[in-house]
Amino acid sequence: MAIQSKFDYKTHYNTVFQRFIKENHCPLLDFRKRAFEHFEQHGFPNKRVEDWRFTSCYEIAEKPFLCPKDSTTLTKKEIEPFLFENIDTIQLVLINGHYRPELSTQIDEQNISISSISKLCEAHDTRLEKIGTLVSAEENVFAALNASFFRDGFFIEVKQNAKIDKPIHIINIDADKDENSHNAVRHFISVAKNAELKIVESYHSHNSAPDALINVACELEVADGANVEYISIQQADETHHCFTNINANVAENGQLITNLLDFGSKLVRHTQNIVLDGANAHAKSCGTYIGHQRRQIDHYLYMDHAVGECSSEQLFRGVLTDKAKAVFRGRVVVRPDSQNTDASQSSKALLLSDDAQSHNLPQLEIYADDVRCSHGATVGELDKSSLFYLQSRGISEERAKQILTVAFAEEVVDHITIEPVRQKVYALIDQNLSKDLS
Amino acid sequence: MSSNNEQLDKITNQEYKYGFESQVESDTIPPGLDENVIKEISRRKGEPEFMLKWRLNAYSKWLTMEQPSWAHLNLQPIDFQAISYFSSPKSAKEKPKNLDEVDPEILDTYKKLGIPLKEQERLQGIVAVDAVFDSVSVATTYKDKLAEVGVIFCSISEAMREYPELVEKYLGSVVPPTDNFFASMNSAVFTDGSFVYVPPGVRCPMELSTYFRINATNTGQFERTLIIADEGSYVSYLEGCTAPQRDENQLHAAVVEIIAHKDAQVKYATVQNWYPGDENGVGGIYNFVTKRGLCKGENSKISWTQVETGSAITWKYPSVILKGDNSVGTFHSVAMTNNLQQADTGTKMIHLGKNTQSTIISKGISAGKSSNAYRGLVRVAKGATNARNYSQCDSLLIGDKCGAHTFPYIDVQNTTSQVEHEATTSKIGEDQIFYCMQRGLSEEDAVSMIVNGYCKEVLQNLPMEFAVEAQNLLTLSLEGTVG
Repeated sequence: MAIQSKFDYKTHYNTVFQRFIKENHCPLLDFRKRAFEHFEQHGFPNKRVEDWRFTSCYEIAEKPFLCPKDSTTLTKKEIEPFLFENIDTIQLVLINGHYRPELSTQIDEQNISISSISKLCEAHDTRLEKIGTLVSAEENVFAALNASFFRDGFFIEVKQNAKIDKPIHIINIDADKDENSHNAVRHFISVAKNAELKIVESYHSHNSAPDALINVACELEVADGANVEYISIQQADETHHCFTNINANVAENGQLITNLLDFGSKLVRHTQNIVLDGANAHAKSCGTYIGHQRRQIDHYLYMDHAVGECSSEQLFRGVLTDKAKAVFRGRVVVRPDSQNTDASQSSKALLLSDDAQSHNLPQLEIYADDVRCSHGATVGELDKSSLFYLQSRGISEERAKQILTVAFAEEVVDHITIEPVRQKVYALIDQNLSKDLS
Repeated sequence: MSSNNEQLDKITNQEYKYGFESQVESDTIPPGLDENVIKEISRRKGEPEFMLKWRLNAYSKWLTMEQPSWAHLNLQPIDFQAISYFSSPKSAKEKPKNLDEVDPEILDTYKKLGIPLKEQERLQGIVAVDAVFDSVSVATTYKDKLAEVGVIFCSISEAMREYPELVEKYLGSVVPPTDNFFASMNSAVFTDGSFVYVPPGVRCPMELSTYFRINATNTGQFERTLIIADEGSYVSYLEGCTAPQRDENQLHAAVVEIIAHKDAQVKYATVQNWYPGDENGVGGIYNFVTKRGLCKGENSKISWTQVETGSAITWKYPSVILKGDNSVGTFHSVAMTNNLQQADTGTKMIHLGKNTQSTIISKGISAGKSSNAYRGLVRVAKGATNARNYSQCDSLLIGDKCGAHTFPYIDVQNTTSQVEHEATTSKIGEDQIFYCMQRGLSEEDAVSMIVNGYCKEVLQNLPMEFAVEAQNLLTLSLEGTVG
């Protein structure tokens, strides 16, 4: 079930890997080796694998991706456009997957510790054992590649009862001028009991060579009563491929909101696995995407109700034009005896062109009887009666369509609680839709 | 709630009432599958040359295929060489000319099943029956009356001899021999089934029905049904199935093809009640069926209605290809699983023509330790402008050990179509039961009433005779499952 391509990618990655581990002695060596073995065994899946039916890895398998060099850096001025206005954040900058302390905020706080993973490796820190506990390398081919090749990322710990007022902003910039850059980063975020954290991760390109591969793994540990909001804003270059694995474990009374916003890359695939692991845990997984040209945006979500008394929501909205394509596969699993589960799922796609495609797979897998689960999915054009309503009030058809499309795309964005970030996302939506609606 | 547990026990102890075995001498080909077996089947049935070629072609394709594993099922490997591919009651060797010549033991079997083959019985003038016993069709009633209006209703073996041009033209045109593993296998070894042809403009005067019965041990039943509704015609067809109670799993891999020409309408209803296995999951039928209809002409209409209560494993997706403009496809299903039964069932609606419409209503009920999955595909192709689909799949869980799953696939490729999918999973609300009991109903009656209400949308699509049977079947399976 692996891709057989003309380019012998397994040998290529093997050479790269051998060189990589020679250069990077670190306590993670065993972890990387296991991950790479998994990759060698399975390779890139072809379209006969059910989970990859709609996502083609052929283009990626044909290219000799390499780890980017770490010499590139940018000036403060150059990264300015990537920052949020009107808000003070803890800035953490990664360029080509390498931490840039000179561009990042240095904090000296007792409540939170932020270290770069490469630093922890140098120090042989025991906390590194946690890496891979939530995003296992066996999960999929990109998780395996990430575990084999990631260079840096952040290990963030929030202490018990701490409320971190400033949001953390992780800025991933891909600025590699060489082709075939494989930009792999990995974070582990642990929020202790009753603590609170807001985190925004954004992806940008700065004069980078086309066709880069961005590969992100993010592990979120939400302890008892903790409250975490994770927002990802992806604006990478139109020619890039972007794969993420964002997994979370939410303990008793914990709360997690994730929001995935996609405005860039030609192929995006998010894999998210949230386990609700204690009573009264709540997770909300949101997403908004806008697809132009031949862009493809995939979401593979897994909401695992491992115990009862938990609630979850999945809310996704997408607007597709030209020949864009989207796949939404949201699966809610309610384990045996997870009684009093409340799960809902809603995925809507708006097609603005006849060549756009949407594949919707809202799935429920339920093994307990006292549950409330619902899912809804719609695909289609704008509601005719709403259009008529606006027109009957003197608004032109074109303008009415604009209003409704923007309203449709913004519905889920309202769930972002950080006001300046929300404003920025509204602006991005307007900017992305303006091409299609003018 | 000990009373609930008692009631749950009661249902698990319930016996399958069609589990008896008839003492009919049968003529069975020894187990195993190779080209010779296929040639032997073809020879015994006196088929035309093209059929043998067709079968062998399907067989060679089947050899290259692998049994699929994507379904949400826990399935033991099947030994295809341990199955006997042909079994016919000895007495049927010389095809009986009329009902009086049919083996009384077989008539008796059908009588026990409540399917009167004697034409003067209570369903007189309403339903024509084709009875399939193991691998062969033993009797078809009301043939003459149907012939008066030009409707052909006979076993498919007979059709191959009498109307080879129709069979050659349509057989495999909707489900090609290479379609999937089990369809391919069926194409190679199918032994009998029903054939219906309704000429242009004819409204079939009565319900047509087939009753399938597996009797012999270690046999598989591979029947094939072909229904052709020519321009402007109408036919309603129903199908029922049972099997004796045995400890080993038996395989049933059928194919049903429906072709609806311009303005034609076909209604197909199934009440499937194969032996489901005992409470420990021993025995039962593996029901792996490919059913597909083709709305070939404009304004044609195909509707599937199914009530699935039997079989150890059910794996079937009655589908409609909406090729003609303005064609309509509907799917109504009630799937009830109990004990260790597993069902992975649903539909496919493939919209190709303009202004095509489809409706999917699926109601799953799981009890005991069973697992019940809805899997459906709605595809709207690029040219299918103004296509419309509405899907609703609801699951009802009775007991806390069972599973209910929903796997819808929605693929849309144009902007003017509207596709909606809704699903809910719930159990019977205590307040609902309380409300009914407050008004003087017993707890069991309340549950039965709620479940029947829950399935009503589907049951009302069944022909009247079947609706009553289906309702009884559900009530029976539900006794005492207050959750």
